[in-house]
Amino acid sequence: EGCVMNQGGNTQTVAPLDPNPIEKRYGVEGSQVQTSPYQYSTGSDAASWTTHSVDNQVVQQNGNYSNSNYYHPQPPVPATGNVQETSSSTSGTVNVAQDYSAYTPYQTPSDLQNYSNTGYTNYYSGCYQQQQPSQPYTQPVGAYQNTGAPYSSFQNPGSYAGTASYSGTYYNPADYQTTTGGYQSTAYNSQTAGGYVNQTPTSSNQGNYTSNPYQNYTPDAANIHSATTATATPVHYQQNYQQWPGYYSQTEVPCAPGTENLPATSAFSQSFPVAGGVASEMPASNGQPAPSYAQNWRQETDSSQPPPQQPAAAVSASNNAYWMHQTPSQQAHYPVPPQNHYQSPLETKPLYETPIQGHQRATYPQELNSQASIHQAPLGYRQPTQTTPSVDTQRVSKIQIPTNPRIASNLPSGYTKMNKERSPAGATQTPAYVSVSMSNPKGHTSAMPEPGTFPKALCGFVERAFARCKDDKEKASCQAALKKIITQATNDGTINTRDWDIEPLSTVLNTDVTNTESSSAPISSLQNKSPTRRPKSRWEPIVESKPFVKPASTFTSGVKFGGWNHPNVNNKKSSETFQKVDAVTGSKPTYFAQNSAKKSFQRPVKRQRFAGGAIDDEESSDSEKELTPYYSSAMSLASSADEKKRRDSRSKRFEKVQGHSRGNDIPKPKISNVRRGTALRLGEVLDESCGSRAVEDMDWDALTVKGTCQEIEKRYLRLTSAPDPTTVYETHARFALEAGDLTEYNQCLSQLKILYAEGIEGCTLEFAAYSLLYITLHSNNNRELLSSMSRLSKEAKGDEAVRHALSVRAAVTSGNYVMFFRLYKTAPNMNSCLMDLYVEKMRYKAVTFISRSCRPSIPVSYLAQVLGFAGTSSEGTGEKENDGMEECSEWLKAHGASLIADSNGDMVLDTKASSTSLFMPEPEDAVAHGDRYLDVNDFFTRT
Amino acid sequence: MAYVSMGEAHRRITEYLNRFCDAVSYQDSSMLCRLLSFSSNSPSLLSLADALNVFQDASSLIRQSDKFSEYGEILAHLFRSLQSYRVGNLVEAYLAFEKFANAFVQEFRNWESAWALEALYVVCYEVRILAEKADKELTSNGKSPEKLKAAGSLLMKVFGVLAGKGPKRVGALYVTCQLFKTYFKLGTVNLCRSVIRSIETARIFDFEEFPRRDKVTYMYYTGRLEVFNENFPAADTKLSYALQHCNPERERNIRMILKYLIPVKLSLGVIPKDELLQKYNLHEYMNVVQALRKGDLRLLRHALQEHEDRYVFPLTSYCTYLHLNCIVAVFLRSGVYLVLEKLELQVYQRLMKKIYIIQKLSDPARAHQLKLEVIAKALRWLEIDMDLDEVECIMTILIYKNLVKGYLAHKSKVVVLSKQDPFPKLNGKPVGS
Repeated sequence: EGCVMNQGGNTQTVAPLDPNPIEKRYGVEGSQVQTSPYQYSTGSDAASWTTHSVDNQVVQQNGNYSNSNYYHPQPPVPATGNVQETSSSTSGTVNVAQDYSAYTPYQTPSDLQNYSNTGYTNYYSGCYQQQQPSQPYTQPVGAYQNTGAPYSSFQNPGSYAGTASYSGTYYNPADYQTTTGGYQSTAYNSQTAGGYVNQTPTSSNQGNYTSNPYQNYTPDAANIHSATTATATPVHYQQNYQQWPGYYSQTEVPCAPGTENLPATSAFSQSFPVAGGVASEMPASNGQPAPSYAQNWRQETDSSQPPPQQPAAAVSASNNAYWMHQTPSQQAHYPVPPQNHYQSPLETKPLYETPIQGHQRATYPQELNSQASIHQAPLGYRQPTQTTPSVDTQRVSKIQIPTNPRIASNLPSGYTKMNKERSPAGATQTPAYVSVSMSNPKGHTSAMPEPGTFPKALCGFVERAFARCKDDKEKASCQAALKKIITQATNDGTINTRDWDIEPLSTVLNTDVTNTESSSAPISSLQNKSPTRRPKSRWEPIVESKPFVKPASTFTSGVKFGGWNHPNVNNKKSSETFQKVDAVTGSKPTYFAQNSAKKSFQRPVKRQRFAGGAIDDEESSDSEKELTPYYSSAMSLASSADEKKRRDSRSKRFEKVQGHSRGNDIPKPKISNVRRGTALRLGEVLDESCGSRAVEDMDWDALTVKGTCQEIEKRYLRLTSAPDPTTVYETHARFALEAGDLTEYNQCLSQLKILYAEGIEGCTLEFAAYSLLYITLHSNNNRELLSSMSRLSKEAKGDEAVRHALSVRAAVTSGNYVMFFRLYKTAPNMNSCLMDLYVEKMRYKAVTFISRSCRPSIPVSYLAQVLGFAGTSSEGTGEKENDGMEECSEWLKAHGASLIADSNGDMVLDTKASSTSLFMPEPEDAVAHGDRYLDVNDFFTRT
Repeated sequence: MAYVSMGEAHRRITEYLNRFCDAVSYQDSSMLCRLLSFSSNSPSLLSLADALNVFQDASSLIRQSDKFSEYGEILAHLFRSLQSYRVGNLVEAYLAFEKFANAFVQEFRNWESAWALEALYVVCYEVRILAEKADKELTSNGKSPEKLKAAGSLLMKVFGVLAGKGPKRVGALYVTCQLFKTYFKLGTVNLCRSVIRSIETARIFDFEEFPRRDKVTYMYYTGRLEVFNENFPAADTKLSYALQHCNPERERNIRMILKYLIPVKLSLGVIPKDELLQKYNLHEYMNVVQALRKGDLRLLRHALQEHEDRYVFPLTSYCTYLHLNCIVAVFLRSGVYLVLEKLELQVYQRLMKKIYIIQKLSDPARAHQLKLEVIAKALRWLEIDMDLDEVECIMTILIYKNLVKGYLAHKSKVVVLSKQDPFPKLNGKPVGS
């Protein structure tokens, strides 16, 4: 419940935070961003926190539909949040203080920022490591710092009217919830990151964080966090990390081959339903949603941990999911969140004021939407979000919330996709960022749709562009250039139609240098970190995009971006990054855009919900995915709901990845998934405000599914059907035979015997033949041989392979080498593989017989033919026989036979001489103790 | 089940208890044996079982008297086992009997003298028989038979009790034989090794000191083990010992021994007289012996084919045996397939000898040169199709194994036989030695 509450709180808080922070931030940014890093940073940090929290939450939501559920709970929470917010300014401060204290103790008692930074860094670092080792880390650190800063800023912001209220809201129970939610999300992120990173400190910090906020909210949450951090998260995270690439490449869930993904998905699914419930509960007080959340969490967590821990487990699961989402989302978020925030501040402020709950909700959905839209199907989602803002009503929010979960789920996937896409197509990403910023300036209204609807390809472009940046300056310049491009594109209306995937990066990268220097520092920090930390290509692009986004969104996204930046910048740099971020006004716009997008998203969410009613929870896991499936389902009326679900769920794997790309590409759907594209398009269509491109304008070819997975090696096998045990073991046994690994073969055979005994169908006769051969040739156990022979049914004895095996047995027991090698050449199935291992012995036996019995000599050519050296052809062409001759004579020499030339010059075996000189050579690498490197002589020579 | 009044039941039970206690106190082994021998299905035991089923509270009767309660545990388990045995619940009967046997062995351990050895034999035997019956019941119920295995470990425990310096050690061989039977039936003959080792190497044991009955059984089983190991001289020694010392009245036992001894002897080149085969009804060996005499490879192969299942089957696992519900006789009679199969070389030898004799009749000067072509033709007459390569291979094996003296001239495709004893007799030595 605590988790739910937190989430709810997060959402609520986020909503309030967003508007206020945005405003404040704007103000701060405008005035302070550069001037007072701290303030800015703080403000930005606070914003970042909120944004982060929001983002995180959003991400989480996006990532997990369960999150959406959380959000649903949140909606109820928002009511409380509102209340809290109302009192938040004061209480908010207090809360903030608490939070800070909590944070501070966790991070560094001395500096709140440090604290937050450290914690964040940890978190971020974890995240970054997971995602983009270099940048992500730095970013995360920065983000954390930012967060820390935000906290401090929040407190400071407390002074700021809006910020104070925001901070209050965030920090306040509602805020805390939100913040906590944010923290949780962050914590989750961080935790996840920590878990990924395996950083105990981070986790502890997070745990502390969470605990504090949670304490405010609910003690359970803290427990959960700590528990999650302590227990489940690391593993999950690690797995997630490992899986991340996969996720990026495809849907998170499928990618998650690991358990984490699955849990996360499951949690998502569960949460979705809950979300629905929450949505219904929305009007109800926080308490209701909280329970629902708790239930959700619990449900999720049940598997992982004890009741207190369970929530934690759930959190962890959610975290994982969050991570999944977050990582992508973060990247996406960065650009988006700013927009949202900016938008929200602009737009939502009034909204917030009037219907705080609604605003919060709206903001949440917006945020969610924005995030979702940004991440997954930026355009479509954003559009919806934009619309949603208008729909401030709780209903809308509720509706949005349910949809949000879906969206959120889609979004994560979308994020991941975006990330991926971004990585490949950095141009798109940059544009997305730029567009975000552009959208902000353009007007919360008009810009809103754009940022929200930023095509994934655009996001990818942005990511690529950032990825190219070597330092902060470059990034800053790049960012500016991207802004230009995106604004231009948005103004031109080509943002959705332009092919960002092929957009040259040179235009952005070259001009970048001139861009804001202030931003360059943070960027550089981000960049510096990002490049170093980029272990995985997929992540790298994302990370880059994130940092970029962060700077861009520093103000609005200051929270999110700031958070990102901070992570990158680390604690020290965090302030700078914040400042820089703040300096980057574009970010604010982006926030606004995001806000607007979120609003719009809310609407779309509603729509999605409506449409998505048919969509499964699973589908909802990824908002984009869900949306896309939904849209796709809407598009394709033919398929049944179940089939659609199945297909959707399966396609989600890829859609998630694609979704990320889509988030960028939405306007210009090069997204691999047609569904996404359709979804995006649909979203665009749905978005009236967006005035998105007509469906006809869509480049349908761009929707062609493309594989995005960059991993060649897989740690697992994807089964296309339920595995049949006998098939598995039989296949394994055959491979073992082929490799001559009798130990492995034996293990398989013992399993097969059990399976066969249980009446499971299989190639019993084939393996009966193997069994016979094995006993005959390798075990030399008469009793076993007799018992296996006696077990043969008449039917079995009629089988070719079994008859062959029996013949081989007869040949071996009688020493009939001629028969043996004839059977060797005509062996069915893999009988020859087992015989292979006996050939040496049989040849030696034969030569022993011959050299004892034949006088005075025997031609090698005859031996080559009889002992199976000659080629496969029965008659043996001259060449083949010659080949056999060479092999045979070499073999004979190796075994001590004496070869001479007879009167005709033919090579013959001197049988009399050989009869006493034959020996069985030891294998070259064979040593008595089985390790030729431990040869005694070697030892002596050395000493 | 005849109706038994409560009073009658009480009387029967009390009588049994009195008899048991008297037998123990007077060290009356034979009486004790009678009281414990379930499988004898004696009327007195059956009536006792009926009485027990009427008078359910037999344990109270046991507790009533100090005399009875001294053996309360033994008797309580025995009664329960008997009850279950009577109503056909063999698994329960076995489980109770196993507890009884444990208690009895514990008591037996306390008895200084070996007076109760015979009773212990009965217990060991009954445990094994009951376990087999219980396994049959389990198998028919679709469950895995495991009681015989449990009986094996119990018998091993009994063996440990007897393997000491005291007078009880002479009973060790009986338990060993019961273990053999158990292990052979379970198909885990490798477990026999440890027992054999302790019997043959432990100083406490003097083989000749054991009862003859047990020695014969022991030799029979160890001989069979040697057959498995294809150690024919050792198998010959052991089985011959068993044959010499077994009770000549027990034709069934003699036949069992001959079933293994004949193939062993055949592989050593000793061919039994037809009268022996007929006397002990060993018809399955008639054709084999005939083939060896005539050098008729086809006949040998047919004989093996015909009796393959019988030769082979006995070695199948106990579980398979239970499932197929085969008779024990068939089970005991197996494991010689591989031995008989090895007789092929001797048949080849016989065939060559025949050809050699025929050549000698027509052209004594060149009789020692056997053309491979001729051998192949002879085989064709036996409806066995072999090309020269294969014939040559067989000839090399025969020469290598010393069944034929001479050498093979590959170029001319001729086997050149030694002019002196070209076909040496085995004379009790195994082929290839």
